[in-house]
Amino acid sequence: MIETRNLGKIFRRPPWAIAGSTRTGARSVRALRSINLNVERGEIFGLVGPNGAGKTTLLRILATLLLPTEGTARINGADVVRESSRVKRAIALVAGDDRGFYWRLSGLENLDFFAGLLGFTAAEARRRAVDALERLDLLPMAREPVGRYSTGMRQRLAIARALLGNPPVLLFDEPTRSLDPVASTGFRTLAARLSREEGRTVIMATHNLDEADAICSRAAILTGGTVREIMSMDGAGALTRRYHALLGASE
Amino acid sequence: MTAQILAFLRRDYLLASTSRLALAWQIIAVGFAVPTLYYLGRLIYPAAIPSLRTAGADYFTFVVLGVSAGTFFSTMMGTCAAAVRGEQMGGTIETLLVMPASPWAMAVGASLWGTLIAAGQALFYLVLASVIFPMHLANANLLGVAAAVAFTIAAFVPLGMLSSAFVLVFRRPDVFTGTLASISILLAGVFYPTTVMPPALQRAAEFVPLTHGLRALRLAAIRGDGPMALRGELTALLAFFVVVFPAAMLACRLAFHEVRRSGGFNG
Repeated sequence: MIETRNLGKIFRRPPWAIAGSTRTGARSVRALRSINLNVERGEIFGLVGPNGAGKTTLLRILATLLLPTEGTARINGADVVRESSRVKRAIALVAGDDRGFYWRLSGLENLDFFAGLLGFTAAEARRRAVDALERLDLLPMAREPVGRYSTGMRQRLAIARALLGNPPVLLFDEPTRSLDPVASTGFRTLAARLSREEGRTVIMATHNLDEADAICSRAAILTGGTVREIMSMDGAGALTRRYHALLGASE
Repeated sequence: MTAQILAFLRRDYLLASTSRLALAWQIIAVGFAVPTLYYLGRLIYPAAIPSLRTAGADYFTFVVLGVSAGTFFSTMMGTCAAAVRGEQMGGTIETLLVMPASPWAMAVGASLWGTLIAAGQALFYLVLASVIFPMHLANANLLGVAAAVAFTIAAFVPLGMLSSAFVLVFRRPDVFTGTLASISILLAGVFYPTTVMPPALQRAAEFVPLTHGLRALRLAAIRGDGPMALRGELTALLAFFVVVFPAAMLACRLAFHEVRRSGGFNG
C-alpha cells in the first residue's frame, strides 16, 4: 500500500541565496535519511519523534508536496514523483496548522469548493460536504464563516475535508494538536473506524505517545531524519518506554 | 475540469460578495475616469492621430479604447499571479496543490473571476463612453474587434504564466505585471499614438504586444478593418505567442519543480 525505499531529503540552499549568508533557509539541511517503510492496507501507522525529526517532511513527500532527494516512495503502486496525479487521487492530507481555509467563507462553502476541485458536480459536492460536516459534528456551524470557528473546529473541518473524496490513504500531521480531550477521543474513534471498518490506511505524525499507543498498530520512532525503530503497539506503554530510552541514549 | 473551474468561479464570487464595497469601487472608478478622459479629449485636435484621421476619429474615442483595453489586458495578465500570491498569503496553496486537479484547471479557474471582472469593467467603459459621451464606433467591424481581442489575449497568456511562475518561486508580489504594464503605458499607445514618440521608442514599442493589440483594436473599432486587413498586427501577436509560450511553459514547469524541491509554498 505505502512503501518507501532509501528515502532521503536534503533541503539545499536555493541557487539564488547569497553565498555565506546565515539567514534561515540559506544553508543545506538533511531532513530525512534512508527511510524504509512498508505500511499495509487498513493499518494505522504512527510517526513519532521530537521536533525536527522529519515526520512532517515524510508526510509532505508522501503527499507529493515535496520532492525527495534520493530513494523512492510509492502509494498504491504509484510513484510520488513520477505519478503524482495518481497519488493525489489516493490520498488526503490533514496538515498540522489550521490554515488552508478561506476564513470569510463558511465551512460548507469551503467544503463545496474543495469537493468541486475533486471533480464533483455542485450537487454531489454539496451532498459530500454535508455528509462530512455531519460526521465531524460540524453541521450546526456549517453556515458560519470559518473565521469564527475555534482552532479545534477548524482542525475537525480539515478532517472533514480529507473525507470528501473518500481516499484510501489518509495522512494526518498532528491531527489532535488543537483538539480538547473530548474531541481527541472522538478523533481516535473516527480514525479506528476509518481503518478497521472502512479499510483506509492512515499514517499519523504525532507527539502524543499515548495516542499513538492507543490507536496505531505500529509506529516508527524518528530522530534526526532517521527511523530508529519500528515497533508494534501493545497498548501498555511500550512505545513510551522505548521512545524515552532511545532519545535518552541519543542525548 | 469544468467542475473544477466552476468551483473556483463560485468560490471567487462568494469571496467577492463578502466585500461588495471593493467591487462597487471598481465600477465607480470607471464612472470617474470616463468624463475625465472626455474633457481631456476636448483639448486635443483630432489631426494629432494621423492613422485614424480619415475615419474621423477623435481623441476621446482613441483614448477610451486604449485605456479600457489596456486595463483589461494588464489585469487579465496579472490575475493568475495575484491568485497565486493570495493563496500563498492565505496559507491555502498547499491544500490546493494536493488536490487532484490539473495545473491548467487550477490556472484557468483561479484567473477566471478576475478576468471576467476586468472584462466587465472594460465593457462598462465602452458603454458609458458610447451612451453618455460621443464615442464614435459606428464603423466598428465586430469580427475584426473579436480577432484583435482574441489574438491579444493569446499574446498575454504566456506573460501571465511567467509572472505566476515568478510569484510561485520567489513568494513576492508580482512585479512582472506591474513593470510590463508601466512599459506598455509608456510605449504601446494607450494615451497617445506611438507616432508622437521618437523613432527609437517607436521601434521599441514594436516589441510590446499591447502596441499591436491596441493598433488592431482601434483599426477594427474605429476604421472598420476586418481580420484580413489586420493580418499584419494579428501576425505580430501570434508570433509573440509562439515565441513566449514555450518559455512560459518551461518557466512554470521549473517553478513547480523548485517549490517542490524547496518546500517553499506559503508566503
